Amino acid sequence: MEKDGRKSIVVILFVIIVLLIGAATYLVYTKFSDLGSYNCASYSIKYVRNWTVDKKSDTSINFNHQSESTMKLDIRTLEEKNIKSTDEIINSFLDYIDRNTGYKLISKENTTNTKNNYDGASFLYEYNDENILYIIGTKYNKVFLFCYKSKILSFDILLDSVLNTIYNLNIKGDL
Amino acid sequence: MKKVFSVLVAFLFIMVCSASAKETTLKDINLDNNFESKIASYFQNDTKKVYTTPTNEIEVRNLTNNIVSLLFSRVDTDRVQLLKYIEEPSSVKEIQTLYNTIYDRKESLVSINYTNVYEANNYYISICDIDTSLGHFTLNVLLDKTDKDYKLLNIMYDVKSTLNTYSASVIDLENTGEKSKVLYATDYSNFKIDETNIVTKLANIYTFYSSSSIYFKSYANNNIVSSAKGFLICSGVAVTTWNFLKEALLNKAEIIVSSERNLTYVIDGIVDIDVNNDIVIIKLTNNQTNYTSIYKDITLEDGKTVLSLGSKGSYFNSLTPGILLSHENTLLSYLPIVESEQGSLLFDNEGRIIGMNTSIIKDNFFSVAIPNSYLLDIQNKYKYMDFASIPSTKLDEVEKNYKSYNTTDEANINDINISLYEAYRSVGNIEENIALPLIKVGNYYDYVSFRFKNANSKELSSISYSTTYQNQLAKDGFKVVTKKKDKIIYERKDYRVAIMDILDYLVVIVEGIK
Repeated sequence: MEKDGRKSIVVILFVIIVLLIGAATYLVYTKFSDLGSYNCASYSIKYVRNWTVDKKSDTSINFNHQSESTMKLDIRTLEEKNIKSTDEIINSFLDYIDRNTGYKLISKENTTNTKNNYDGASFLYEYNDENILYIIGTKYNKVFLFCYKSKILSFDILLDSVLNTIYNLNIKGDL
Repeated sequence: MKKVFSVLVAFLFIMVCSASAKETTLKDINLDNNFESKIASYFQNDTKKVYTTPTNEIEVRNLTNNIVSLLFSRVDTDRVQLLKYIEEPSSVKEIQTLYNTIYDRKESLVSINYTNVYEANNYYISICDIDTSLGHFTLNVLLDKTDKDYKLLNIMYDVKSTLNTYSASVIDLENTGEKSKVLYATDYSNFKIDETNIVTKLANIYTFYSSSSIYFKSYANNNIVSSAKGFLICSGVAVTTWNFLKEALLNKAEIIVSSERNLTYVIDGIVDIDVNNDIVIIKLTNNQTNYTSIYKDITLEDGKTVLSLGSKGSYFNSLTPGILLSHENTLLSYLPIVESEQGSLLFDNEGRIIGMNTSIIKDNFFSVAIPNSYLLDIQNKYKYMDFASIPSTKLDEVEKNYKSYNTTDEANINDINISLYEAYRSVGNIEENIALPLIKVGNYYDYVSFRFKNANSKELSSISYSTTYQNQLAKDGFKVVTKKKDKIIYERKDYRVAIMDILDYLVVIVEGIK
């Protein structure tokens, strides 16, 4: 009996220790981590905590930075009749940009810089005293447009945290 | 009933096809047979003559090999305006075939389609695909848009060999002392050259402005870094584009200034820079130079001919005609010039200077020029000033002030504190140890970013250009704290350095640790 009691205490202690480690791990990875996260039905994303979430929904999320820089992600699900190739979507995007005079394309890359390697491209524009990075990508019937906008002076400095954010984008749902 | 319906549908289909086909018929181009036969004869004629109109003498001289082709603008059914010289070679025979195909053999024409119509103000520029029973060819055309269709305004033809033979024969005649001009034959009496008399203007521009038109080239490691045209705006004072100088400074290139007559000028210093208008004023050591007269109060009209005194190969002057599309603040022209022609003078169809082409060339067709009023202000400011008293800053001083401020095609950032920049650039001696052009320097609190452009990013990762820099950091006591394929972070007690490969840039961020 005494032996059983001792055994129970050991088990309880073990459970408590496991719970404590779990709680500590959770705290480290949430409250005290450099990374925050947002998870919803259509996507999940992790972001560096020097950015704050401004608005969020199942189709978009906006971030602000104290430097007056912004990050914005929009995700759209295309109806079957509107499904286009990634190239066509990119062309539509470029047509849209072309109609907005003053945007000056200064760099382009045929990658979305995402860990899931979503098909798409990145475009860096200059507009007045701002740099604007657009990343447009597709996954099946979903299209996402990510936009990072910042004053030119601070653009590069925040770029690492921005690329970390888009890298961690996970679009949910299959065909 | 079903059958009747099918017939109706078929009828409607034919009607629709006919309507759309109308856009591509010869009728819409409305060219005149008589006009064409005259043009054809013009080319068939003895090329050893210089043609003149009954009222207006045209004497063409020294139209050397640089000018290789002609553009005819058809003004109305009986008048032609000689507008454009372009560089694509073509034979007289081809032109005659073209003419015969279009004009004399209407029945052989299958279709004309305007493809890739570019819109610019109220004008449209297109490659016109023409299918004939003899084959397929294309023409560059300028169009006006009507309610339902395009109306043809200009056609551009290439006649290189004709002009070459022609100019050579003129030179031969002049060498023998014979005055190189004859009157039109009587059967050309109805053939009117447009009163703007563009050939004379071309000759005048070429003769009068070639001596004050100069070439700028910058060299680094025996390679040309950038080239531009420019001109002498006052004795010993030249202007060209800021873009040219910027490229030269960025690449620490040596600048050579020369004239077509192989005179070389030495730069004394930079008088002024206007980044927004893409212009730089340069003082030369020699003030015994010609300079260009700039007219006041020139009334401009959109749609009129303009001419650029550029240089296709950066060695000889060449004239490129175009069409003025708008003239508000800056001048926008349909003028297919190349980058080495930035800084070239722009003339109206009277041969008067109306502006200077900047480095902005859009879609290879449209170029932006700063207007002559701006140039006139510069001329008035320095023309009457004693040459020795014109202030200038030595090139190496300018380089020192500008190299930290970024550039290339991107915006200029000039509000980073110089002492901050100097402190952060000394970490690992960044500029000396990264062999890429520095194009931007940014700052946010204790962070300073350096953006380098990697033009070879497809072949060589940007990170690979940072090896020497990383070695220097290691030598200076920095330790690697993160190492990924596209990002490496070094740290020391006073600084943290992140080296990143992003787009086609190498971005280095130096963070001061308090």
